Amino acid sequence: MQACLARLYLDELFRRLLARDPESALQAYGLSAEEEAAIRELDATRLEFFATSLKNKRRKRIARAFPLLFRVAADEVEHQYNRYHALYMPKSRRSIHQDVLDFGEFIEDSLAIAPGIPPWACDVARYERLLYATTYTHQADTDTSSGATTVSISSRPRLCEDAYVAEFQYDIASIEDALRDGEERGLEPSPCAIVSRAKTPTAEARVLRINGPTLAVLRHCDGRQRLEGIITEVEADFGTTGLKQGVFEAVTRLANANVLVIEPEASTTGPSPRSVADAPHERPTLTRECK
Amino acid sequence: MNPENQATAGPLSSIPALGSGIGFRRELKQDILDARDEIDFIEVVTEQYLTDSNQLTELEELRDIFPIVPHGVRLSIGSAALDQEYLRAIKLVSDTCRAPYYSEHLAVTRAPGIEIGHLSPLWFTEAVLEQTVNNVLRVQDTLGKPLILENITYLFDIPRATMTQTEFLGRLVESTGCGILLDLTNLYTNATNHDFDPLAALDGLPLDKVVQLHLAGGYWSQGILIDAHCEPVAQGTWALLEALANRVQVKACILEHDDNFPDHFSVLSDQVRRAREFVERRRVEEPYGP
Ligand SMILES: [Fe+2]
Repeated sequence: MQACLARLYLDELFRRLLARDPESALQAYGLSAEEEAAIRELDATRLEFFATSLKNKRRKRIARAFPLLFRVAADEVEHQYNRYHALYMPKSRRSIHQDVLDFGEFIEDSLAIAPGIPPWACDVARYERLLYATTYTHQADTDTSSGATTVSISSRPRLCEDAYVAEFQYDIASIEDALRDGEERGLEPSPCAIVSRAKTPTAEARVLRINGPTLAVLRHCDGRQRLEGIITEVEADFGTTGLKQGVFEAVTRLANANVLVIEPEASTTGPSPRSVADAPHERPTLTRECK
Repeated sequence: MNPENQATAGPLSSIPALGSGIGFRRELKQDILDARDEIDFIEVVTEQYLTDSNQLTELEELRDIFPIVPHGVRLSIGSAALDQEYLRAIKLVSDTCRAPYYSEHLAVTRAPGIEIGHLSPLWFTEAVLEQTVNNVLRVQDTLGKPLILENITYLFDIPRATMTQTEFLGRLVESTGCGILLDLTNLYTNATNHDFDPLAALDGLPLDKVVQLHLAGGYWSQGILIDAHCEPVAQGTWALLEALANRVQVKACILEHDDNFPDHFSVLSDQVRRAREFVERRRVEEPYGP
């Protein structure tokens, strides 16, 4: 009975099926005659009103997480939200934040093939998802950072467990500026990258915009290679020499920002850097509802 | 009432009068701290403190300033089964608050595999009552304190119920020793939307089991009054508070305001003060406590 009611609240097509062919709609639920009668006698108008309020409440939460995206391609995003709500019911035992992040993945996929939307819309979707994940997912402190980090030539830096690197075709800061000034039509591609780290009990959330050389350094920080090897690799990437000081400074800066962990010298294992596609998923249940 | 239930949760009568307060929202944090002398206690939404220890630290800091009562939204007390993991998580928040009770809604928010995303009504039948009684006993047993349950607004009844929400709540209280969080705005809203007499409904409740009140203000949409917690408390709700205070001692009252925050906090603190007049009305004549 409760499963059937919950589906009615969230699934428009199921409500339509109930109105047109209640026998087919209800047959999978094994309801008693009394339960079936109760469902059939529900006030359809009020039920619809409630269902709409649930849909709007979910939309409001998502729109709050993707403010830029809803401005960049308002009609398409609304259309895709309707599709998302029709396709995916919120699952029990999953956090409300996870629903927002799931929508982020959904909309990024959807916009990639949607006609007539700005080419930077996918970047905006990914950026806002990353920002949301950074703000609202909280990690256990897997990496113990203790004040200033000492980096040496034999250090083995690696990306923090809860840090994520995302690359964009368009410069996100420029998109924000252009949207504010109403000049977004003239935007040109300008690759950029962002590294973020979710909040932990001992470190604040971080979102850092990084340049190409720093990104190249990060890509080599896998917890296996020593800094001297990383310098060699980065120099090879750029076909030049003399980058020792620059790489050293970049690693120190990222370590002090709690984005990189400096592995003890004996360590030879460590996870590879992840992309935003692997961004944090399920966390302990939580909501930000107010009632 | 089963005396065993009372023993587990502690008697409602030992719960102290907390006064007049406000629902804590992060948007209001600074205003609430600035107005601490005008606020007797605060109510926090449990779900905002379930994820990391920093949140619990904030709760401890607030606890040093105000008495705090935790208020949950996702327990789904009317569901066929409770979520054990969720229960463990809310116990941590409940213990941190050190409140004399824990409050939730008489609602279903979860069905197998589905999170509804809002409070939905129970089917008021004997079978659902029995399962809800078991759930309440389990929650009280886990938390080690009384649960108090809030009457929710509902847009529609689930047909073929065998009792009203008021009767259901009364029997639930009787069987479990739990208390009532009477949301007067919800009562007023339901009476308006479903065209019944709120005073008669008030008198149908075991008013001596009302531990705390909620007041809020909503808005009209398509001929339906919505309990949106975004407007000042309506006159009809104040009238119900007056009527209630004429019947029993009001021990604790929380103003809920979640959206459309006013420019000046005094809009809210004035309502907290107004509610306090009703809380204190009988306290002088009939001092509460041992
Ligand atoms: Fe309430």
